[in-house]
Amino acid sequence: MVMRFWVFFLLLFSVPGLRVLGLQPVPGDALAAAAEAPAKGKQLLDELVRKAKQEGEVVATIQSSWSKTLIQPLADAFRKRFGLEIKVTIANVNPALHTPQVIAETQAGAPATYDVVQSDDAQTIQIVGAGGAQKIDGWEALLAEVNPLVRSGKVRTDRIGQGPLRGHSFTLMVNVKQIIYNTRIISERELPRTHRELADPKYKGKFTQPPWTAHWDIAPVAFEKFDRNEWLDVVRRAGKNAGSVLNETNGVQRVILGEYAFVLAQDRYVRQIFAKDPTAPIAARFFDDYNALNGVYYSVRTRARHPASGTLFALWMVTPEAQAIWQPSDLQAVPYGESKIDRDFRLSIEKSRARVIGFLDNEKTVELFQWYRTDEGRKYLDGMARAIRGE
Amino acid sequence: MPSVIPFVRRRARIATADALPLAFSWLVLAVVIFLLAFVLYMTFVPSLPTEPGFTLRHWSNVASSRLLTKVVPNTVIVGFGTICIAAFFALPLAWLLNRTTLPLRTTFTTMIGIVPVIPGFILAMGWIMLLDERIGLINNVAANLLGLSSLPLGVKDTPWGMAWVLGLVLTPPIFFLVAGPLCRIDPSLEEVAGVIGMKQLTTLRRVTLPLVWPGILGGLIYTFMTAVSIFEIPALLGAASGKVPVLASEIFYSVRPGGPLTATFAYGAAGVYGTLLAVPSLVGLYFYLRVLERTERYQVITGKGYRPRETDLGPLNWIGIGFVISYLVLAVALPLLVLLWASLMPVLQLPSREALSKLSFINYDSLLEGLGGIAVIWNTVVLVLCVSLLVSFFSFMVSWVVVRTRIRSRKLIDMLVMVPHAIPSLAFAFALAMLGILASRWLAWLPLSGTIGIIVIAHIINRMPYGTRVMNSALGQVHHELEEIAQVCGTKTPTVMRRIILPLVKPSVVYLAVWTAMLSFQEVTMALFLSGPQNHVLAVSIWELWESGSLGTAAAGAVAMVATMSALMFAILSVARGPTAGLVGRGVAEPPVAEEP
Repeated sequence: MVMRFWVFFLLLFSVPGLRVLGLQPVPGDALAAAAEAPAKGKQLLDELVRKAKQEGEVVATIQSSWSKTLIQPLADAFRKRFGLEIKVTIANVNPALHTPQVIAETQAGAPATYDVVQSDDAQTIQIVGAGGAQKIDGWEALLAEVNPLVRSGKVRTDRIGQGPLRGHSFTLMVNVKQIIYNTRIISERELPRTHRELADPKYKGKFTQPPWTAHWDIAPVAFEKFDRNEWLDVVRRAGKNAGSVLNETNGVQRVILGEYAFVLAQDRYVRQIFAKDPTAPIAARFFDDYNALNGVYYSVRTRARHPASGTLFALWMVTPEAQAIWQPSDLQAVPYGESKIDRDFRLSIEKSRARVIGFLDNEKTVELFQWYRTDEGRKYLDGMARAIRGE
Repeated sequence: MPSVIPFVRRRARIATADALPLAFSWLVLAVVIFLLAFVLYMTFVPSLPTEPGFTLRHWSNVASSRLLTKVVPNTVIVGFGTICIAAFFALPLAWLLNRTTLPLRTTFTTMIGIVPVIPGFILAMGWIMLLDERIGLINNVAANLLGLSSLPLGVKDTPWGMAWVLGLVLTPPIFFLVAGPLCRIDPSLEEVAGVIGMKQLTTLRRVTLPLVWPGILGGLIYTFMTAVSIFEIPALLGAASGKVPVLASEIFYSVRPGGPLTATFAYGAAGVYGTLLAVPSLVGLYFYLRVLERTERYQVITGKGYRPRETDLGPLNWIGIGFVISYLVLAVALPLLVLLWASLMPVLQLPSREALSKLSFINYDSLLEGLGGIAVIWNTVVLVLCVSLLVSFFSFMVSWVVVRTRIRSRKLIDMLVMVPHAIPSLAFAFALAMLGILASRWLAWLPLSGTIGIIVIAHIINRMPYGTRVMNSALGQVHHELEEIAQVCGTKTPTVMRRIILPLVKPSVVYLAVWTAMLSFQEVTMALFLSGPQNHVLAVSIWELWESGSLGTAAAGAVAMVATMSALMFAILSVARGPTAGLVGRGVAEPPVAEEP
């Protein structure tokens, strides 16, 4: 039974999973496509730059967690890259708060507040689904022109523009949901191995989890046999077991304080904490059953006031040049990147053989993703959100 | 001679005289009514206001057994518990610091004024670090002394814990609302009580307290409304986990549901919860207005000169000082210490020898840039100044209509202006955000969405209830005879306002302006919701740092914020000849009118 499960898992997830994480070799057809792109790409890029100069401005978001000290270097480097002398406004925005505004603006037919926005995969699919993001004409050729990794053939364009988001949104970075724990309070051995174990009474009051469903909602594609109601019951029992429901960052903070033994949170917090205090008593561990992969994307807004400069900004932000500015501060991995953080990120998953599943991995995950946008799916997620709070 | 002016003409003149304050009152009320209508409308539309359809789903969804068995009872405990704690501290503090000869009153009063500037989440974190079964410093010390393994005492997962922390945070509003009237009481009333043989305590109970009753009641209602609307403190102490759900947390999770995939943001449900929150507040408001109806009973400033009487506590001074210091330790020193500690730690840890070795000023490096630079500071200054001035102005106008005119709609005006406080600020912010979006579509010339202006409007509406309580209380104590004399001499209402009434209530106006400025300075929820690329303010920057895990930098920013505000408050109140409402009241006690023959 266990063997069959692993065979199923390997067939279903390994290849796409590795592709998402950047471990798959680049096939020849992609190299050929990239080779054809330069002439068209150059033409499109020149046109965009000309229009951007006319527009004279770009207004973009970065995540609220990014340091404000990044704003000026990013703006300067962006202007320099395209020879633009335009006003660049970059603002820290919490995508969870901003997404409903994006949708409201789109539905009202109002001009976009920001020309280009950063959001995670769940938010991005909503924005794209609501018609809030523009499709970029010739995006593959443009990527090949702007991004040296694509131009050199090291990275395929479908690694940056994936699945249902192709042409609308560009992958910026990823994180993996896992357990972060206080090494002085609990040993690695004592940690729960699976999400189901979180409902075990022995963990009562010992952990905290965020109010969002991202740690739980990928489960339907993680198990061979899946019962939605049964899973909801697991989430509810785990919710009642949890000591608290806190944002991941606050949860990590309370784990370091020793108030809780562990927290469900994304991998980058460990890197961020160690960057500030290398002796902090924390460590991370993957779940054995599955670990949700969460992507972050850039999209150019429909009815953007400065669409050309917005497009340039979105394309540029996913280049190694921009990455070299923001990544040392944010410490989040780029799935197709070549930095040490990116390599270590991939290596840690590879070594631990963790099951990492993202919503854009394959047809089945995309199907689930789209089901969540139906009324039935939304109700299920609402129930899950309430179950997380023990309701 | 006025006495021979025909009744009809005199009434017409009064009506004309009241036109100006009435116009300003209705201007601000029109915005309030419009936004209220919008919030209510949202409870009957399926999703966003731009979508067609009508539904009662939000109301039926909210009506659950959980609401009745858990949410409402918890909210009631938190609300009443908070006003008990706040009143327990605020009333004695107001009396001690305004009607006794206690030393260092100026310093103590100013320190109480610092409390609102300290972010609530820092105070909550401070109390978790102090009182928690696992990590609480007090628990650990007490458990060691008692020889126990742990002490099951904490502020988490109990509505009483929330009430305790909220009570400490919300003591200053009651204190300041009571302090002004308390030190403006005509001492002859108390002297008469003394002459007829009343003891000091009886005088306090039967003379002093009834005289400041409107201030106390206004403060209690205001505190109740605030306590049940605050999200961040209950969230940290157990509301977010669903263990102790309160209405404020239910609203928050309606607007920001469990996961981004569930982003059918239930704004309608938020409106429903807001309406439910408004019910107890409106009941309280009804009783408050009934007290205010008999406002003449509380008019303690007349044209006759008077001097405030201060009680010498004698040897009991030390008990008084001890009480004041106890509050300041719990509400000011403790959170400031936590704040300072957090700002000096790379990653927040409990105090220990190891933690001490990690202390550094690294979080203060590039602090201004980390907070968003000069642009954020400028936005904050503009916001604070505009809100402070406009709230003072509109509050004066509304209170004038309510307290000093006999216009039939004055009760309605007073009730309407109080209603925004009963509706959660998030609901108003959402309504404004939606209107901003709609305006950018159809009224592109109107600079609303993403501007400082939209935050200013939200703040004005949100602060008007408190502003009008202060001004009602202040104007209610100035006897009509002063302006009647001026009107007999033919002085017009604007001149009466400017030359007679305003100087008399100037300390209250200054206090209101400073207080409003401080509250606007530290307000996060609305500013965050209405943020755009160009209107980030300091409090939002600090909140974002906190939320994104940069607790050290957030704490450093908060330390800078508290230091700046404290310095500003000292400076402004020094210029205004008195540190806070208490001494401000003393300023009233020496008005020009009293000195003139």
